[in-house]
Amino acid sequence: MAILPDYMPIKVFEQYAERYDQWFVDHPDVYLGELKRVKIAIGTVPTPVLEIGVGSGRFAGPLSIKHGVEPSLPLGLMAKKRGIEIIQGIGESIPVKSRTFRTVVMITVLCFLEGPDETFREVHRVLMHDGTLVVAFIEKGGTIAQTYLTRPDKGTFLSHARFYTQEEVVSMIKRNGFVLKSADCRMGFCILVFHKDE
Amino acid sequence: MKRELNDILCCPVCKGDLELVVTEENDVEILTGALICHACSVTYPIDEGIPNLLPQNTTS
Repeated sequence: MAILPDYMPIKVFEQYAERYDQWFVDHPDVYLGELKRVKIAIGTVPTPVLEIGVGSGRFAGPLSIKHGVEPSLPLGLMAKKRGIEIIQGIGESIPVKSRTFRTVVMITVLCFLEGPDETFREVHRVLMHDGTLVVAFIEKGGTIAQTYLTRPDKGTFLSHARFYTQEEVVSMIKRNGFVLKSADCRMGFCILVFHKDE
Repeated sequence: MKRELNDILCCPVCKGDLELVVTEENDVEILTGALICHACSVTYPIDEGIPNLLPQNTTS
């Protein structure tokens, strides 16, 4: 098994952290549109909330998420400045005690995971009884994936991504101990809400 | 990292408890230090107020 911090997507985020964060400034329409949809999907989820792959905190900040796991230190430092308590780590081995959080949020991180099944097993472990999992992702073959893969700004990151269809994601998460509660899939961006199945 | 964060942290590998060692702290948070997993004999550093809990014992 490769040493995980050397996993290519993590190295790309380390190298291009500033460019990654600048994308949200340069594309407010797309960013705010996705943020609004995630906000609606999340609603009033139970706290405390943990975001896996919190990045520079562009979603966690406005969503008032207090804790984030992020492998990239440069991105983690940006998120910290946005008021989020950062734990440098990976979703496949979450360094958090079992049954700690009531909600886990993952926004456009699934496509960059080396081990998605391991990650969902870990999310199941850190969630309390009847905990909520919110997964937002760019759908395989959808409008966003097609549009941005060829563009130099977002393409820097998405070219290292592994996209999944809605059906693949639902199946993957269900087999790791979750029940689907709601789905909002439009314009190539999907938001799925699950409950932990004990 | 705030001191209370240590209450929820564990070793990313064995999930065991971590011993907190503080080197530098201000009124708000721990700035530098370490989190030690005695079971794995691994020291995870805290730098710039962020605990680095990336797994260290994976091998190529």
